[in-house]
Amino acid sequence: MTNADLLHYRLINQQIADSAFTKPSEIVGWMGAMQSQEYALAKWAIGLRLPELVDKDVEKAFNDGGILRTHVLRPTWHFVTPADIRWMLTLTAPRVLAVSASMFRKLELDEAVFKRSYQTLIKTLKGGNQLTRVALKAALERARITAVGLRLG
Amino acid sequence: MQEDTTDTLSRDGHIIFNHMIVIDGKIGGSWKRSIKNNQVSVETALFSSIPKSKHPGVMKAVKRYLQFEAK
Repeated sequence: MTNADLLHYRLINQQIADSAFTKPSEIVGWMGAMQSQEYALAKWAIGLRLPELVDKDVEKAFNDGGILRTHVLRPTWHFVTPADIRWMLTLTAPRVLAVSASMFRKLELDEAVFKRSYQTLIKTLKGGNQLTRVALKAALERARITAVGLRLG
Repeated sequence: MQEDTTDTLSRDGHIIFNHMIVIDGKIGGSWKRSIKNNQVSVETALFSSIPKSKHPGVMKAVKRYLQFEAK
């Protein structure tokens, strides 16, 4: 196999030369996870693979929950699909929690705080309910959980 | 369009290809977007080694990007 062949295969496997898909969630599912630190350019990373789409189509897929943007790998922002998020978190959580341990201590985040936070988040978001960061912060504070700065992050 | 590749590479003080132009599977330059009055525009900087025959393809890609960004 020549270098040119490899470059060609890469463009095909990455769905750049041509794509078998039509939906943002299909592209993200195929890629597994797509870096999305810079949101506008991350949407374009999907758009360049789907020539029929414009920015607002990708935005819609995001708002409808077809693609998620969350910290799952290093952690930094990635697009992943709802179908993949659970098994990926199961794999990555132990390491992410281990590297975050000292930060958690510094921010006074312990098991009890996390447990109460989860209960509040589940209660406010269940049934597909969507809330902004500001609204979630208010909900956490109503549950007497200090949610400022990195503690909210 | 800049002809001096060294300038192109060190435009931001360090070489990071986070806005690549890919031509036939290889990096052929970089691009930059700017937003003025809610309008997106693109600036390209191709390596001087890229033949003129490849320029229309790059323009086509830029056009597609602007179409994606159009509100």
